[in-house]
Amino acid sequence: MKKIAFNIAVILVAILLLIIIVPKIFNFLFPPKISMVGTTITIANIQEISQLYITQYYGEVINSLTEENCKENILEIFTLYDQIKSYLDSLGPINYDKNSLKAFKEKFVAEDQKFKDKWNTLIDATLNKNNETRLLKYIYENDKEQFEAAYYDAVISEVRDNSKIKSKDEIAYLARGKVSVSIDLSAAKTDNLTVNSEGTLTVKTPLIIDCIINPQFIYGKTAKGHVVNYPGFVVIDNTKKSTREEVVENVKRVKLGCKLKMIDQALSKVNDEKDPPLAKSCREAEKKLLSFFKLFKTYKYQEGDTEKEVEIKNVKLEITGLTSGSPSLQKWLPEIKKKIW
Amino acid sequence: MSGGKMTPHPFLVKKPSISRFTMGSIVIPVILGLLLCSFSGCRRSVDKSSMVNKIKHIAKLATVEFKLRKIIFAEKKKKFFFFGLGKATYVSWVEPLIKAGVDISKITPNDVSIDEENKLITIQLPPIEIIDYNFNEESIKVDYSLTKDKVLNRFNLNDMEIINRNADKDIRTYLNFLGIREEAEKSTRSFFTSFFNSLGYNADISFKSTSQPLLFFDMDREETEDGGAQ
Repeated sequence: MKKIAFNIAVILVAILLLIIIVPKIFNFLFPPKISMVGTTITIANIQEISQLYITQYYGEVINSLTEENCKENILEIFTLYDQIKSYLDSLGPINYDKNSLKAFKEKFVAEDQKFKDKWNTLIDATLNKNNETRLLKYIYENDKEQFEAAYYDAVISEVRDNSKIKSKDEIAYLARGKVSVSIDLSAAKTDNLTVNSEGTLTVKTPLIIDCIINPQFIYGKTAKGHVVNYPGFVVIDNTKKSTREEVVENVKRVKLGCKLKMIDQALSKVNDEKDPPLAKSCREAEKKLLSFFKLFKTYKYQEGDTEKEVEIKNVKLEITGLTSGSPSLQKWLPEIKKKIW
Repeated sequence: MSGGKMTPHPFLVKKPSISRFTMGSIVIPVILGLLLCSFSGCRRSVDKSSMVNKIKHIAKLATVEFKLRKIIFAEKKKKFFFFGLGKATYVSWVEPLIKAGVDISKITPNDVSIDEENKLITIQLPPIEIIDYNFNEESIKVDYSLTKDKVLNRFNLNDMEIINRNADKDIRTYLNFLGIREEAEKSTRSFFTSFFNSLGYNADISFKSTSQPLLFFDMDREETEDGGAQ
């Protein structure tokens, strides 16, 4: 009898421990209650702007910490491109097999401690060892631009397909949001707005590109009374090995990655085979601005010393550059620029 | 006994019951109604897939940007049978950005009149709307000194997302009470006045009235490049 009681006690303790150790079971049996403490909303700053939104794109992407880490390492490889390329050129035509990799390593990696450290870090973090030869082949056979595009795509798709390449602390999100393109119409108050005698109004303005992913993608009632409630960020994967501070930083990185991916997606969507991306957006904006300016019939322009009036027949946007409303996207503007122009 | 009412035996009393006919007349129409509703799109839900991957060309002029500030303060309570496991707290700050203005593609020739004699443009602008709402997650600063976990009661990533969503809902709910419409009308007036002055006109600017709240997802009206409503 005592033995049975002891066995039951052991089983009960084991079940209890299992419940406590496995958070999912624990949360299922004893669901937590999260409550918000009411706080006020204050206006910190009000600023006058003149921003005309011309294109919006709603998108959905998935991004993970593994992919972000990999991306960071690939960018490091890009900085080493010239060095590796010159090493390979000095080796002459070689077969990209284990022997040639060994020769490359003996000659360059072993001798240059700085390069060795970088090389090892990159290879460990980005790829499995078998792909070192592939990296060298890609560098040898392609110029820098081709290499960046081809290698990036190859490695990123491999990361997605290979479950072994995974960050220690994985965080993955599905994100839904909006990419918007706008122009700065404060130009309308300055010399950046000119009219010629043929009635062509030229607006010189930078393009402002932005991506917004809110916690709620859509929340509220529509005009027909439909209630729509879709979250903007959905956690797909989360292994809890880091401290809260690290998690918060990693989440920011993954979410920024989501934004960049969504901008990529938007640019490829607006891309036309004949036109550069966003050309169609600009044409649509020109049409809308024309119908707006036509409301006011005539516009004054200066010809020499005399002021003349002309009817606006055409609006032309002259894009002077690219900027972003988000400070975090500023760093990535050169990359985005490459895709647009 | 004569003249007196006979009380029937309780077992013999016929209980009032709904006849089969009555039942049928209620249940069948209800089932038919539900079936009809499900086929005719009567459901109050919208397919998300029809909203994403869409390009939309617009002409919305944002004339004012508001930077808001909100403290996010959440508590998480958990019980183990009847024993409380302590209260975990999460405190952070967020600075959402709101841009408001008008949709200039909604201005029609009927909304504009030009008095050449007095050099006056009278224009009735569409109502103010929120053009961009950005919760601005990048601005979130977690207060680690006040954010505390308990042994078996910790805030995980899912919890933080739920907290952000609740804070987001809270901000969207209170947007109508922050005086955004009035400020945006002021700045839109200022933009159009200086614009018309540059054309050589004075301006008389008014706004169309609306009963609609500032922020709502106008899915029923928005046209996409693909031609379909979002």
